[in-house]
Amino acid sequence: MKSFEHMSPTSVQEAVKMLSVGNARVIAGGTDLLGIMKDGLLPTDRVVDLKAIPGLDKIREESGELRIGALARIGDLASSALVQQKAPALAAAAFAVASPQIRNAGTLGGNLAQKVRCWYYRDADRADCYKRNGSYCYAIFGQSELHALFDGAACFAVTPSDTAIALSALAARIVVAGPKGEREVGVDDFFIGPAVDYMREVALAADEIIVDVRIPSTWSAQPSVFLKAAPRKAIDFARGSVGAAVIGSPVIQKARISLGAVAPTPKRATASEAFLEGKRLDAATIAKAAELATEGAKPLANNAYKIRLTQGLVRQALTRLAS
Amino acid sequence: MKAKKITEKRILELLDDPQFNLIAAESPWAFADEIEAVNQYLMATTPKLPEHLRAVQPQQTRIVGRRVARIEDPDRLTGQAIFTTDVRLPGMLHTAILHSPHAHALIENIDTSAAEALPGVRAVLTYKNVLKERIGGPPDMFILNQEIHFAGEEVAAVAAEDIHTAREAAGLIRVTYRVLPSVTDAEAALAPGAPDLGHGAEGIARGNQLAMSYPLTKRGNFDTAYAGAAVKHEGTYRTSTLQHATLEPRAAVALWHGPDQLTVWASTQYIMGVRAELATTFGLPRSHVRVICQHMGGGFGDKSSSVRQGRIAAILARMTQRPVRVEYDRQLNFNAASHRYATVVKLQAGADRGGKLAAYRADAISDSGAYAAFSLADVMVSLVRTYHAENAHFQQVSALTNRGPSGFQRCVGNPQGTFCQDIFMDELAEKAGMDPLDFRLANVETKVDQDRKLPWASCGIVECLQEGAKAIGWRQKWHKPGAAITGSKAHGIGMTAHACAHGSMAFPMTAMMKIDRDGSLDVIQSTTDIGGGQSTQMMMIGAETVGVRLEDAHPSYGDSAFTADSVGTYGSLQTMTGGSAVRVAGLDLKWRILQQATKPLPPKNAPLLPGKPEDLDTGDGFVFLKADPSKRVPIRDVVASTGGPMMGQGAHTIPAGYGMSTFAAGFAEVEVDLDTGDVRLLRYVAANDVGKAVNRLGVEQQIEGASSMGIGMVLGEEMKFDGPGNFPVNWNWENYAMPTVLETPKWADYKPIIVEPGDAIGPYGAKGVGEPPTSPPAPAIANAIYNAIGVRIHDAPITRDKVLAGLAQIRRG
Repeated sequence: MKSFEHMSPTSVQEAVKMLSVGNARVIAGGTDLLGIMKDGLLPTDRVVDLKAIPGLDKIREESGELRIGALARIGDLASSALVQQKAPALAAAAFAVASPQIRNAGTLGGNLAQKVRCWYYRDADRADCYKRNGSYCYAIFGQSELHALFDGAACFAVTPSDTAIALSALAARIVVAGPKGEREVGVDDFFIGPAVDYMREVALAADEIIVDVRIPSTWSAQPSVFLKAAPRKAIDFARGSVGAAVIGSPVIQKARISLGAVAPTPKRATASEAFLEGKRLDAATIAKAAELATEGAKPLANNAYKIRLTQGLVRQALTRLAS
Repeated sequence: MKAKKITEKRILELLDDPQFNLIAAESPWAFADEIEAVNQYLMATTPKLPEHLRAVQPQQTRIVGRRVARIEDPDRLTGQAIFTTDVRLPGMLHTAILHSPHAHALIENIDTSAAEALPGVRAVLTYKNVLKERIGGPPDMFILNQEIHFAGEEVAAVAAEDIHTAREAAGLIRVTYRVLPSVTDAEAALAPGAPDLGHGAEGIARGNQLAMSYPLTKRGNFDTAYAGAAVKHEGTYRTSTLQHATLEPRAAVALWHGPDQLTVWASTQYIMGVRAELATTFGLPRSHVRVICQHMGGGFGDKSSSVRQGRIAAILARMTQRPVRVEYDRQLNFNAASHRYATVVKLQAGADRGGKLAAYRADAISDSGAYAAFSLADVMVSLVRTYHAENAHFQQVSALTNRGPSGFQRCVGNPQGTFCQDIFMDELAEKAGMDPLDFRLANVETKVDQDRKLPWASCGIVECLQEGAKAIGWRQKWHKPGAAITGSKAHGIGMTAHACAHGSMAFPMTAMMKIDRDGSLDVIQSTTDIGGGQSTQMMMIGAETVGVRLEDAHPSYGDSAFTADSVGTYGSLQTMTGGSAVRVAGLDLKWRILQQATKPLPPKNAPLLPGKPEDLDTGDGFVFLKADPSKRVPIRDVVASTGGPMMGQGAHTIPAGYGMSTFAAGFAEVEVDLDTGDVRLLRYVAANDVGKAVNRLGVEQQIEGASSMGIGMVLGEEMKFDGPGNFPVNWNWENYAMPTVLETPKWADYKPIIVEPGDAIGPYGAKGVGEPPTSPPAPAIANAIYNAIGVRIHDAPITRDKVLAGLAQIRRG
């Protein structure tokens, strides 16, 4: 790893200012950034450490919302009684992240803003990848089992964040701080696909940081689930995941279903959501909703299995919500 | 094929060649004539246990068979163990290695000037300034090559004051490659028009087919027997490229003392082999090279020789006159270290109406990877011996490709062979209308090595099958395929029978024994302990044989300067051969102790004990009269009466006239999620014929460890290569899905069964166990998955995509 400057601001304003100079990167848990720096994937002259900023790790109920500071550790989210009660899908997603060691270091903000895991992007030898300022996507003709069924363009890497999928199902909002103060953005707008900008995955400017995540009262305390499928029971990033929440029982008034590992961003299963409105969750309804979830999928050479997997996960998620 | 005439001079050369020992241990059909000649020579020249030592064998065992924690455990568990990667010497330089991004390329130009100019850089090594030496195993591989044969291959090495400087400098080396056509599929490499990977090395390959490939065993007449069989079956089965994924990567630290004395700390399974290789490289007497490996962070077959890393460290150390450390980074270790080769096997068999195998044929193609590495003819080892087949034909062809070099990996070709064979046998059993267990019991070979026509020195395969079946509840749980589905979960159960040569082979080895005046015993062995508990086991055999208490014994191992000589720790042969040498050395020392105990001593001219040596025995630190054990003296008094320590020495012995084999059975119970394709291994029973357990705890640990590797082979492990580029994509822990503790059953459901028929050759009846349990899990689990979902999957690993595709054939569209 090359030498870099390490800075330790004590306020959000200070941090944002430090980020505005050169190739500066935010560090909190460091579970993603350090690997990126060792592999030389992103030029980094300056690392701005958020851990000394007080108050950014609070998990609390405020104005009827469940609010979680960006520095809250993934492990704390998984074990928080408040999160388990108000947003069961988020607690389950946090528990599904990596391993205990990584959950104890990694933060919610970092989990949302982490870089993609595409094995071509992460291979320093493949420097002509679009995402590394090149002009080629290896996944299109290569090994594509990790890659996107939907919305791929110059890049087919999928969103790696488990918590993002749960937050998408829970209609969360992300609070972002920058030089001009704070702004709020809906979780589905926070993630951007390659059609918008293949160089970045989230709507964060270089001098912006995530400070808070808010789950509105409409969706907190509603039944919600998160399911994940990966090669191994721990450690791995999802090959398929689903976050689902419903309002109304036994007749569903509104449903939110978000799919992970199938698109560059959390992918809302809008056709399934619309189909479920006004229906009861019986076996036939569940089967149809699951089938609709992957409508429009465009598999590459090695990832067609994700269609069946995602349908299976949606089936299981809705079956759980039905009981 | 006509046997070649092998001269005695050639036999002696081969016996002295560490690489030949490796090949002979792992692939008895490559160089078949040479190996047969060497075996005959060894049979004729290996001493039988002398009469006087036969007479002093212990009357009963006190230590062999106990459960003993490994002697290195406290050091390892408290972090105090010094592994090769922990060695730090004053003034030591660190090395970074640049690798090729291309699968097949010629280096047209390599400019190291910017790297050399970086402050802190002390030496840069490329193919231009490295010793031009064809190295060891792969005979067409140089220490560094100008023509690159796989993506990830070593191109240059930089030694610098610290690792960061070395890495930065490696990044400054400018290489111009001419990219050449490449191929990473063995069948494609053998097809007409494939890129020529023959490397121009004489006698190594015809086209891309390795000259070491052999037409193998033929028995009776396959074609006639097959034509007349009542039940016929054929199928094609595939296994994938697997990595050892050792926690400690390839590593070495080299230190020169003057121009002709070299010490190397090497992460190796074979200190004496590395010593011989480095002596050859530098033209030194072997005694001038000292190789040390006290603790091993994972070998599993990859570290059977020093290959590139040891030589690079020693050359850089000689260039810089400084100690030099080489440690492969994880990417390099995944790609440039050896791997288990992918194999495709076509099987064909016929059975009679009663389900008895009448004709059996196997044709295998294995992917040897880059260089003429170690992919030989070993896929056939389990095929020729597990099942009784009088009309048979077995053949294996190995192809050069642009995958990395293949090599030995735990049980070498057998996991590939047994995976294919035992799915096939399951299918044949079904066609014959038989329960899979009954089919195996009716067909396993229980008596002889069918090709050498020699009786097994021991055979516990029937007991393995019966005890394993009982433990898993086979008779209660086996059901028709796809007949146990509850909701979205399907239950399945499957099994494997297995036999291989590992654990039963013998090669020349020596040992020494030293007992001090205080009665403490130093078991000076030739074993390189690779974490399998070898040194502890040798200590047990030594203490048992000499008759001291276990707590008074200590093993000396892992340093070529003061230990005995041996072959390496591979082929699971240390128990059989190293253990035999230790036993003979122990008997030699014991005989001397008994002589001394009965010798008249001054001043009274009276012996310590009455009678002749053969009237005495030893145990628990005493010499005693067999007829009256209360008449005894401490061994230490006997030793002290000589005025100094006493020593014994010995070499292994092999009684002739036996076939040698180990046997195993595996039983698996799985649950398959029909929605997601998840396979959960609920229970696994491994039954292994170990002859006799020397260290019961060690045997259980080896069975568990080897089974876990077998589970990985079927549930997720696979090196994947990019289609157009032929470079590996999943060279890290993240994407190479080794099983974690969560993928293996919890201990109560992960049952080792130790079968102990007693072996006619092994010390105290023991055979080795480090490898044979690796093979059964994969086919047992594959068969269980079939039993659960009713769809056959022939290709390992059986991952989610294959399960979901299989399920798509049968339900829910």
